[in-house]
Amino acid sequence: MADVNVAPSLLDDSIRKSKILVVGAGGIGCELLKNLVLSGFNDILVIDLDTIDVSNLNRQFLFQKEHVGKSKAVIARESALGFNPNVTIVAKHDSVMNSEYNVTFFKQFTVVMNALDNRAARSHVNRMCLAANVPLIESGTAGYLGQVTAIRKGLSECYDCNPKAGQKSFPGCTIRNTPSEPIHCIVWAKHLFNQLFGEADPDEDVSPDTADPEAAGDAGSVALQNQASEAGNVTRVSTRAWAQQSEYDPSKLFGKFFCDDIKYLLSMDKLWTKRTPPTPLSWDNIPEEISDQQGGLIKDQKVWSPAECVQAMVSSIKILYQRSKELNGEESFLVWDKDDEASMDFVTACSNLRSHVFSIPKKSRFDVKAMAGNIIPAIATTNAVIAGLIVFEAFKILEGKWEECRHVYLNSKPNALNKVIAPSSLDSANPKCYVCSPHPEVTVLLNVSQMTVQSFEDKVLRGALHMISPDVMVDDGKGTVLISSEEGETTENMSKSLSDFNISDGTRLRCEDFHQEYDLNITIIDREHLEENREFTVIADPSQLQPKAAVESSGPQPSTSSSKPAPSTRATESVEIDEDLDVIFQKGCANDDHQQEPSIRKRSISGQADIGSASKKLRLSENDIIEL
Amino acid sequence: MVAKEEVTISEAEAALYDRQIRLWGLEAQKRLRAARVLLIGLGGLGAEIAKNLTLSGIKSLTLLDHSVAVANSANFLIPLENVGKNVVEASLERVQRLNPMVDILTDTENVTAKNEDFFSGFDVVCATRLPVEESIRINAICRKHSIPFYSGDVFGFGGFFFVDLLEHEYSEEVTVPAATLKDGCTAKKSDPSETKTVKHTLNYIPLQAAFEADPSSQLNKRSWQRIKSHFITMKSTDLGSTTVAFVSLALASLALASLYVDLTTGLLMFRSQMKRDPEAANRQSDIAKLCEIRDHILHEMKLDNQMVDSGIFE
Repeated sequence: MADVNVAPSLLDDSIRKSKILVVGAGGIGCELLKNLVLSGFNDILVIDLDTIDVSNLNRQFLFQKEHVGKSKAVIARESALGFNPNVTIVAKHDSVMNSEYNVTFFKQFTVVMNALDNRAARSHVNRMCLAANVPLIESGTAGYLGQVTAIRKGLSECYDCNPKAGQKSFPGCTIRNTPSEPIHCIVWAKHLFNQLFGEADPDEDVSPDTADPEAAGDAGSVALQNQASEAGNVTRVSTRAWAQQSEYDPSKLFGKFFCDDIKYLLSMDKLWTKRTPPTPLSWDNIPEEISDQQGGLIKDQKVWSPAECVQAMVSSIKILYQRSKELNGEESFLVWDKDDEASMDFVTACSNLRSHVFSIPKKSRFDVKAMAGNIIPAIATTNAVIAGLIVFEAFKILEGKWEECRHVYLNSKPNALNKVIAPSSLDSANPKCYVCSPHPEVTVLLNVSQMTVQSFEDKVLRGALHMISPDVMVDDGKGTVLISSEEGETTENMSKSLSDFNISDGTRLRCEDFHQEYDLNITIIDREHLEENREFTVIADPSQLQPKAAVESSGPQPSTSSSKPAPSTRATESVEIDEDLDVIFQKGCANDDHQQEPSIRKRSISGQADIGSASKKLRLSENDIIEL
Repeated sequence: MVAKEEVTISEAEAALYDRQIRLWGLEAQKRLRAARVLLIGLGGLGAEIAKNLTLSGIKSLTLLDHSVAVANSANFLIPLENVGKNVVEASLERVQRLNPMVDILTDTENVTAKNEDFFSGFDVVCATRLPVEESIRINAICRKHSIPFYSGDVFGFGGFFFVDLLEHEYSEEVTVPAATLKDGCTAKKSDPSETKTVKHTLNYIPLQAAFEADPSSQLNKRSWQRIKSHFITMKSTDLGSTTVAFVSLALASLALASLYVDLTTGLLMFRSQMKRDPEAANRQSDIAKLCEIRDHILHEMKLDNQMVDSGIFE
């Protein structure tokens, strides 16, 4: 509890009197708690929904081996008190998105500091801080890279001022019919897990997609399609129910997914005119492969032969089936967890078998885990630096020196200005921000006859727009209530399509999230088909509405890790949500057309903002950016 | 640098180091696994370094510090009940708990009593809070034994460190747009650019050399402006890159390096004269003292007093 000596006495005073909220007790959170306690802060609330995993221990230094499985917030508090027992730290093993943490809750804090790893929570905390008018320090790390920035209503950009790149998603037919890369097989294997053991999602079908537009037009496949729909009508059984019929007999499962379904795909000739056709596998004749891999690797880094895949598939299915039998009642499905051995074995085995079938290079369990689990590599030092910078920003805020706050980048090597730690001035708020502008607006492109109210709420309002408990009224002069946040009030609306409520091209919806104190007007544009078979597209800036402009995230999104905000009580259920930082910029690299353009394009609307955009462009190209 | 014994990683280590192996690779983790590091000084900065090194999975960390643990220390590894003991012994348990797989060794002797044989047993030497003469001495010993040397310190909101990696080879992944690839390089059709590995060599200079340069002869106003604005911020990398720049820019950069060193020397000089760092409690008199030292240094360097204003000391 030393350097209190360093700060001028006024700052000292502000520190002592302040109340701090730390959201997250992971990589950044542990370092941050240590810094706060040592800097003289003595009233801290830390909240984290997660439990401790062994893979956290290389950097989340407030935890030790004996704490694995316990609550991060609780243990972090205990360890931090060891640095100064006189500090008040309250630990909440909970999700910050729960209704308990309302605007009144947020108002009690002098500064809120995010130490999160996912966009949904960041977006939510952003809104709560805007509503409560509390300064927020946002941060993030990935590998050697990191960022810190300060957010203050009216004074700076908010977290949602710049649209974030949508998560990578693949068209259904690529996953189900024509995979060409390991990631396609991995996504398929995760879907298979969910179909067999987890919460079955209609968007995660694993069987051949007979509606594949590429397969159409061929006499043979048309006939097969007819067959399929007949067969479909006769035996419309869920994958799970079908598996249960044979008590998850591995040979039967293997036969269907790696033999029968593949033969079916082969019959859709058009798919294979320009592609290498798949080769079905036979249960009785699994190829043995001689491994010529290097020694000295970690066990997980060795690539399994098909025979080893089958072995792993068999043993993991046995374990998973047993586990699902033991669950009764409502929670009768398993949640995929990359840190669960059987879950991980299952996905590795199945994705590699599928890769083998489609002549795609196989991946080791180590690599599959990274791709399936969206693992972000992480070390202690990056988090330590970022946590230090967070406290520096906090000092400025406490001293009322907002003009000195900066957006700080931690680069992996000196940038063009020879800086590893590169501060840049905060951007002012986007006047058209769909969250912090006075009258937030977005436009959503979708098919009004196909999109159900339920889907609209889940995928658009909650998924893409990060609302928690929306209320939606149709702006039709009649005040038609589409969705009510009160339970039970609009249940009968859910399965209807939007068009059933006379929502058509140009209809406006008035959405409110009372909890976030957030009002949003949505203009619906009716489109029969969208790019890449997406279900919807959100456009943050309507003036950019062009046939091809897709700025915001769109569905369907692959289910990566569970985004249930419920606190985990068992280690097997805790899911480290590493879903976000999947886009890393390097200087001079064009990763994806969508990334840098939107933030620059939208600023060109008002002439004044051009200057800002030019310097922003410079800043973006000068520093290693991670998307928070 | 590090002895390349055939090192294997156990399953337990693979699980613990998973997230960092995914960043720097298994090879790098194996090298860490074989490294014996000496850390001199276990104040606040030393504690941070000890934490980071221990978590990374080195072979052994030797903590060397003769001083006694005081209350209100920035060293968070010392439980309150250990105040009064030697800092290294007071911190040992918490350091070890950070990673039971690392050998944590303690040495309570004064670093000035350590001779060449002592340092030669390490793969890397990291020093904190060293008087300049000690930094120079130990740097020279390390140089002789091809041991990388780091020496740094913090003063309130600012800090610095000096790095000597001798003749340092490293590789860098560079993305080259397809258009500039030379003939004979095969680029994948799908890649608009290609990533290739480029090897570099950097020649660092010893600390001694920085002091021996004459800054007044080569110094220009522009470089001075840069230094002034950067002085208080953590510009450790500038120092390192300045020594790099030395290779290509000769004296001008050396002057830069030496100026940095001379200014931080001012703070170090304060410490050696007053036996403590400048502190808020003695604000007025400490600033006066710092100005006095500044004048003295600038006079030695034959520079204008006005070039460093006392605002820096606030």
